[in-house]
Amino acid sequence: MPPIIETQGLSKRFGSHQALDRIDLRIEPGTIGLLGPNGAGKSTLIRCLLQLDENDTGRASLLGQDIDAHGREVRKRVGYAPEQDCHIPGMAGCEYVTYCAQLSGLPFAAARQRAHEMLDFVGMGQERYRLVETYSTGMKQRIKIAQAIVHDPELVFLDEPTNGLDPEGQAHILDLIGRIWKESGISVVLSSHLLPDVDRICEQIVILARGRVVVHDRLQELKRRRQPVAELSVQAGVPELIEAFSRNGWSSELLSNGRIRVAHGQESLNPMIAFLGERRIAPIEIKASPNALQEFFLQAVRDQGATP
Amino acid sequence: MSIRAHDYEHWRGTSTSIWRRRWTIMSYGMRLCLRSKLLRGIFAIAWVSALSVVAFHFLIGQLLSTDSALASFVANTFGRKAKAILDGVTAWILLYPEITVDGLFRITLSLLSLLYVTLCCLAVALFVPKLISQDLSSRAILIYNSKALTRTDYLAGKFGIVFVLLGGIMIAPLAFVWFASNILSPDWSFFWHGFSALLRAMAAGVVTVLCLSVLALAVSSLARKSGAATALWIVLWLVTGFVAEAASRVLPWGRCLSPINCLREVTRGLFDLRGVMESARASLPFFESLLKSLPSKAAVAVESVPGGAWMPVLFLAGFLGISILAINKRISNE
Amino acid sequence: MSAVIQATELSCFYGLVLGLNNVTFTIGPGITGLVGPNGAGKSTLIKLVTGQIRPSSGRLTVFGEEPWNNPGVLGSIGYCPEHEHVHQDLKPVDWLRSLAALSGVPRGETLQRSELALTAVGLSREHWKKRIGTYSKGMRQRVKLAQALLHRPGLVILDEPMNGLDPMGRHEIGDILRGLQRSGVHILISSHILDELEALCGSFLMLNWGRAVAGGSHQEIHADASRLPEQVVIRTDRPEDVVEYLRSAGLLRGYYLEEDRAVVWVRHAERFYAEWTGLLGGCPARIFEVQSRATTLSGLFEKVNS
Repeated sequence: MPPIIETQGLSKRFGSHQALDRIDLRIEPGTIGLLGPNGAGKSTLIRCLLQLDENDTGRASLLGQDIDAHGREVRKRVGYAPEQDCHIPGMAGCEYVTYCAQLSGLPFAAARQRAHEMLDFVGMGQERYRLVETYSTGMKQRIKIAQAIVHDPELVFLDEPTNGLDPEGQAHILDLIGRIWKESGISVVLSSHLLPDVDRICEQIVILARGRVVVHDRLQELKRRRQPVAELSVQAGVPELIEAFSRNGWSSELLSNGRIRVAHGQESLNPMIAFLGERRIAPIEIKASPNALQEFFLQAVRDQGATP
Repeated sequence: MSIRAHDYEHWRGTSTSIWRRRWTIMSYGMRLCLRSKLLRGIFAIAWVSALSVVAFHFLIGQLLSTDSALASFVANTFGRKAKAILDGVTAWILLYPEITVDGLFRITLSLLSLLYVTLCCLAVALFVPKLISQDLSSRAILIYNSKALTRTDYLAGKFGIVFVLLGGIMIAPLAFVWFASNILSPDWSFFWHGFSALLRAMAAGVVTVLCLSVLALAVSSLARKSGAATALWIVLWLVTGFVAEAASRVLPWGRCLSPINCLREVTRGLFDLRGVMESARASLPFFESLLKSLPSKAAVAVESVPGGAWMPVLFLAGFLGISILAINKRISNE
Repeated sequence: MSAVIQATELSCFYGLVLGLNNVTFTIGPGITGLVGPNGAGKSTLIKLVTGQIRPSSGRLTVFGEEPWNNPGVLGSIGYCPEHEHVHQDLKPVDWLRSLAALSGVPRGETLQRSELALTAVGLSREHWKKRIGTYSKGMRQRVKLAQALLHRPGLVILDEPMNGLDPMGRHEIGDILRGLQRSGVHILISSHILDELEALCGSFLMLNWGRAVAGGSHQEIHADASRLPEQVVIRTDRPEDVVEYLRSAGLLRGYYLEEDRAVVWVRHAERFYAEWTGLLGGCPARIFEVQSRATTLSGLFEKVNS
């Protein structure tokens, strides 16, 4: 399959701040998590790819087309939900999404039809007939996603789509984003600070730090590279269990949330479960490397900081 | 029928052309602007005044054609003397139609144009925040730019909004007045004699609407808040007008400090009323003595600026250049 | 276990608007997470605990005393609000010194206290001389936290401290809070980011529509939830095999499969939870996670909201 995003030496500078520093990327279709600390260049990268900001040097192509030569045609096949709150004033929800579809080149009749389909898809009911200005944060996030996919793009960029939502809203939006790729085959680039969300949805991970690509790999691969740890939670007998683990050669510690973290060094949890089974200990729950992505992220960004 | 889930479906169809997309921006913007009752009021004033000018032309035409009901009514009411005067004027017009018909059109259309410049300024004050300012404050520009549009397409659409709205206030009524008056006139050969007046009116209309459009877009792109955009426009229109008026007493080119003043000067220059008077004085009998007692105000105004009509044009070009730079800077920064 | 915060039939209304409605709960020592959808009453509770408003009825005690109009107990509470009220043009030390003076720290000690607080939140000395306006979001969050620690409170309340921070910033704030907890400070923290809370907090209080719907430590919530036949999520490389294995063991009531997980409803939940390690020990599929849906915060959240 051809790559959906390809960049060569993409750089962008704002005054003295090097926002993007020679980015070379080749990303396959799928769900991509774009991670990085604040100011690492995540939003700038997306904005440069969409030509919202002009890149200083380097080349980039989306879906096999060069953005400098075919910017307008490329954007017809790409959707974007910005991080900031944005809307076109004076429009009701369905009018807004229809208008966005028309701007992307759909004829009015098709635009109107698809707008309602997409509003159904993102789970909006009668609110679609209200002015966008009056929407709650959750509704605004949903309509941003609807306008990003209304023209049936092949690639969609979502910049912090769960910001400012309560847990219920977050879960809904995440479910929705997962469905975009699974049901429609639209590749999704998700930029987020919430690593567990990215962990749940994305197959590929790109980590930026100081304007550079620090990591680009499949999530499975990244997890495989981590030293296997498990976290488990038991009703009682924590000191005894820690003692038993250390006799087995596994180091463990008690976390602030009452769970025990064990470095067991095994590929799966089966040996650990067998070990616990022999001792008739049944933890409430057990997870393999629950924070793998977070730990990997912190490691990668720190390494980058150490070697400027 | 089987149960069908409302799942995602792909869209297969040919997309519309870029002109169609620009038209979408334009038509939505126009609908948004026309929601304002005041703006519709301004449209009404523009067209009612156009209709009254047509009626005025029609009355004059009827007075001068010998066999019209109006002419015979005048003759019956005011007696032979009035009838004789009318006959004299008719003969005069038929002798020199290229000067008299053209002159009449130029005078009425130029007065109408000056009214329309003011109406246009008022209209711009009403819709200027809705052009770009609101898009800046709600970050709608981000949405436009992430679609299959460039900044030029966006500006083309926005420019279309102002151009069409102001065109409906100025260009269309001017053209309407000319055509309607000619159709209602007693002699259709006047079409040829008044043609230069039409060209002058259209030139004045296009220049005014074009310049006001660019200025309006610039003002709209400079302000983020609706109130600020309106205020900025009023400053540009009225305050610079006063300043220019004051400056003109000290500096010979002071009047050109206000872009709206420049537009008025250019409009006057295009209609060239002084030229009308001079050719009338040169070729029409009795006219010279008439003019001596009536010093033409228009002629005085044109003479007061050194460099003639070119000074306001230069200033206007400067204002437009600055505006285009400002728009460019503001839009590309978003 | 002694109670840090104790509410008995506590209600708080704003006119007709509901804040909290007849809630009774106990918040124990350690780090407690306060969760709930928007409008659940979280901020009302925080305002009550910090003595900013007065309960309509019922009783709320912090360290055994009512906080309303009680400077004695308020002196042992530190509050880190959600919104930024930090003066942009000041340097952190100056700001903290003036606040310390306001809260009654003797003049001679203000500088020392401020520096201690800044050290406690891990803000390195080179930043102390810069204006707060030049700080990153994470650093500003720390200054805000330092402000809450100035008067050495026994209880620190944080309202959405993770908002807008990047993963690095969250991790650092998490470490600081864990350090505070070890030094004996109790912490109440509200957040919308459930995973973050789950990694940090030993116990929770969940509010919805002004009522306390669940509370206690992780283990207590589990003990409550496991009385019912439960939904268990098993993440594995071969979900079908796991399901088949459970069926042959006579433990399966129902299930559905996802790509990398089996969600099963177990028969004989008591037995399953008591013996599952022994039962699954012989399963041929590789297992990565076993978790009861009802004990995760998000699972709880879904249940409460449905």
